[in-house]
Amino acid sequence: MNAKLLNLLTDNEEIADFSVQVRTTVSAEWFFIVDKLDQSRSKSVTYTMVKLYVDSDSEPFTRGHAEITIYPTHSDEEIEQLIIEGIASAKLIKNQLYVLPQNKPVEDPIQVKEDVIGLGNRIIRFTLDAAQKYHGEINSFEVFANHHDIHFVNAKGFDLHYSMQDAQLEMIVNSRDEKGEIELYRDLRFSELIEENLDRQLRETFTEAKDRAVAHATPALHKTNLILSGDNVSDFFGFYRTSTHASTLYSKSSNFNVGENIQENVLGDTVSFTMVPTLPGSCHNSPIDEDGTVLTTTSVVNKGIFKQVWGDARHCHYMEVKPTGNLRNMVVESGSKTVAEMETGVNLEVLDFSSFIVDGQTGDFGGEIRLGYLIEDGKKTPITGGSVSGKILDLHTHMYLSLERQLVNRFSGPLKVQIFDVNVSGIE
Amino acid sequence: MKIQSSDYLSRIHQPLKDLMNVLCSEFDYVSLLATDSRGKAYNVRTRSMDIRDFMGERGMVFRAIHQGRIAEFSLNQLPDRLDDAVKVVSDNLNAQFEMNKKEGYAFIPVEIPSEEEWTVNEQKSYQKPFESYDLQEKLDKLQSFVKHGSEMDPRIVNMVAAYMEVSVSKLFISAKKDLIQDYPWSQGYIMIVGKGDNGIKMAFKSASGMKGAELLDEMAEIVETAIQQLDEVLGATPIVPGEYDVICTPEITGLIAHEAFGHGVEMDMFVKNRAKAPEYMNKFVAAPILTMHDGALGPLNVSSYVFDDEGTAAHDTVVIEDGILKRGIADALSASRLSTIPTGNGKRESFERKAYTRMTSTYFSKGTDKLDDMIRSIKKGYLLDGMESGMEDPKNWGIQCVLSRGYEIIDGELTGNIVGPVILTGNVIDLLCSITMISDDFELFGAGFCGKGHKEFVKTADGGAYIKAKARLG
Repeated sequence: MNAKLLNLLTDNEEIADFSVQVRTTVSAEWFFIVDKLDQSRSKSVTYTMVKLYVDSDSEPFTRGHAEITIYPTHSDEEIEQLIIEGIASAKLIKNQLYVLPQNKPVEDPIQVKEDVIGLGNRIIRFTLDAAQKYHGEINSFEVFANHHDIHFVNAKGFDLHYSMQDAQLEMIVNSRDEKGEIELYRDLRFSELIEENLDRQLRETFTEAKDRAVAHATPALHKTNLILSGDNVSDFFGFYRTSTHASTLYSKSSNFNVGENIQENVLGDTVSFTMVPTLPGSCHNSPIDEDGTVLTTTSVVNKGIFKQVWGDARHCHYMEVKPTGNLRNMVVESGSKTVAEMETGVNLEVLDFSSFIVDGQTGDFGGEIRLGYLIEDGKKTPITGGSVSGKILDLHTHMYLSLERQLVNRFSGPLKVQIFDVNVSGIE
Repeated sequence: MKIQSSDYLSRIHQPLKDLMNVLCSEFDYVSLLATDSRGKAYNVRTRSMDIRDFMGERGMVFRAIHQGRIAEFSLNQLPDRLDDAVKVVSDNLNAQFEMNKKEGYAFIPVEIPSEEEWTVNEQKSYQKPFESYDLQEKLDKLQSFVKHGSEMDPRIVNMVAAYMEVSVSKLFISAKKDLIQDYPWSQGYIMIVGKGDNGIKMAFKSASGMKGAELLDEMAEIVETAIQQLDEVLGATPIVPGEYDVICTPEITGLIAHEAFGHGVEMDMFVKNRAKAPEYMNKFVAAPILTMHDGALGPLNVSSYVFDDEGTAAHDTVVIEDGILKRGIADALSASRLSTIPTGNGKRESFERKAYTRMTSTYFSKGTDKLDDMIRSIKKGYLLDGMESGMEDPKNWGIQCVLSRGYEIIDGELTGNIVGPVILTGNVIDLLCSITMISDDFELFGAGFCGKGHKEFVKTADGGAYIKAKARLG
């Protein structure tokens, strides 16, 4: 930590509060085409992020802040100038007054030894082996392994040093039949190589690619029961995450109000979810958020009742609730149906969209189907093309969540979600 | 007025040339990209405001080719002493070459680029330097937009007026090239959240360009449009899924150009056999009235540069000419692997990331039709507007565009009925071959970011004219 910088911030009477985060990232990256290396990359960067706060000294009392990024190549004079400019900028920002919480020390913060090369090479081997094991056809893949060393201090004497590692496997998988070749795209992110999880994800990807190759055009179903699975379930629940965040409520952009039943007259399962600081394998595990607020496990919605607003210190202060910190990991409770029960009757299950879009504020969702299954009393026919669309607010009063669960990066929750009367634009 | 060049890059220019002289003797080929971009984002909302650093970066990336292998090293700090700096870079690159050999990874050999001598030092211009307005004046302008908008419609619960300005400075050095460029871009948007009988809805309108602070003056025009759009989306009803005759506004035309053929002709996709385009080279892929360009040498916008992130000069590439697919766009490495020429499309998200083939300004050329005639020609269909997102599928030539609104057309007239949101999907060639009319308008849009898969976000612009086509909507 730059002592001169800390002195500049501490000694300046105009600065009411500040935090400094020094983040050093070391990365190793590999880019493969099929099983041959196209190129490798390495990265070593350090950034110092300063957040400073200036309060007005007369009514109406307001607080402004400035965020400054300092590079290692900035001279002392340049840093001083950046702080002066930051103060000038913060003085112009007239936001409702708020205070940052006084944190208790964090016991046993995360410490991960740097081994980006070892982690990356293990992922490469595992991926190539899985392709052989499951007779999958890799088109290309990219592996990124990152280690982050983070030192956070603030004006109130909070001082925390922790480190994290994360990885990304972006993979394109091919399959073909007499009609031609298709591809599936996967973007897998995790903080540790949990072989059982990665093995399942790779096996499913290879299987789904083979199914897409023989998929039929999506029929013109117009309206149908929709089953979402995989990452799409996490994206679906992103609407509830955003709609209950303090900043969304403060800006009056949420459809929900704390204390109310968000699923009035529900026919199926209710939503219950908790925001948590850590999940096994998540890339978003952290003891604190970007403001330095120590993250606290928070039950947000319980059986459809919006119990607790969550979010960053500033917006929690505005909403007059205790700051929970900007939690990044979500745990959604299971529902009442098994996957087998969901699959009775006629359903459209979509495994893979070109891009599944869920608007965090409006709840509108939709996407083009890359791979789905038309399920008719348990018989699954792979389909592709066309799109589904709907609005969560109109559909979540009749919704089922599976008993079976999944754990993918920052989401732990039902494996599948079933909703009804969803618009389908088919092509046959 | 020309934008100021980077003091930092000027300061390190000669030391980096000295460093590169040494590295050039150690590797078969080595190049360096150093960046120093400075940016600010100003956001004023109904109940809060802030000023943030935006799109800033300062660092460098070394690329080395040795014995057919390629490795890169990104960093943002080098020792001052030449010997120490050489050791840091050389040790890292050699360690990568050794590790990949030790792991036994088979590799795809790359040829040494054949470069010509080129020296350039160019600064682009803007009308009003970013410093023309001070911080307070910039905030005041944005606050006036929010105040005005909020007074116009009681259903508005939150309004955001945002303005971003970026000065890009880049230095590229290789054995034969010594290139410096500085260029500005700015963008702004108005986003309005309103609450109606059917819950929360949102309207969005943007402005952008290779512009300076003059963009703040131009933004006043988009406030009224955004307010009008909010009224429309609050009253919009779901569309009945099906295939319709449609007219796309220039914004949606640009999205289609970008998603349909832009991604489909990125030649790093050819190298990986991830695109259908090679099978269609010199064949009809669109109606004969359609011509499509991509290139940083095209109309000025947010991705108009002199050289790309691999030191290749900007091009203006005619991708589709009179409906026939003529050529793709390429970064240097992909071009080398395909034995073709790079087209100045090698772009990095920042110095921290790999260079891929990326779009710049992608657009369909304007035609000769009039919008009124196009509307009159439709029995039942929609005028589509309001880009929300798009996704490509170059391997299967699928397309997904999410749009906020469709204006109903019945018997050649707009009825006033509005549907939304709308998802346009289908086969790219079917869609482009169905184009029967192109208007004589032209507009480029550069306020968004383009990703490669779900990462590597870079600035691109796209646009064109109004087009009439047949599309599947849901």
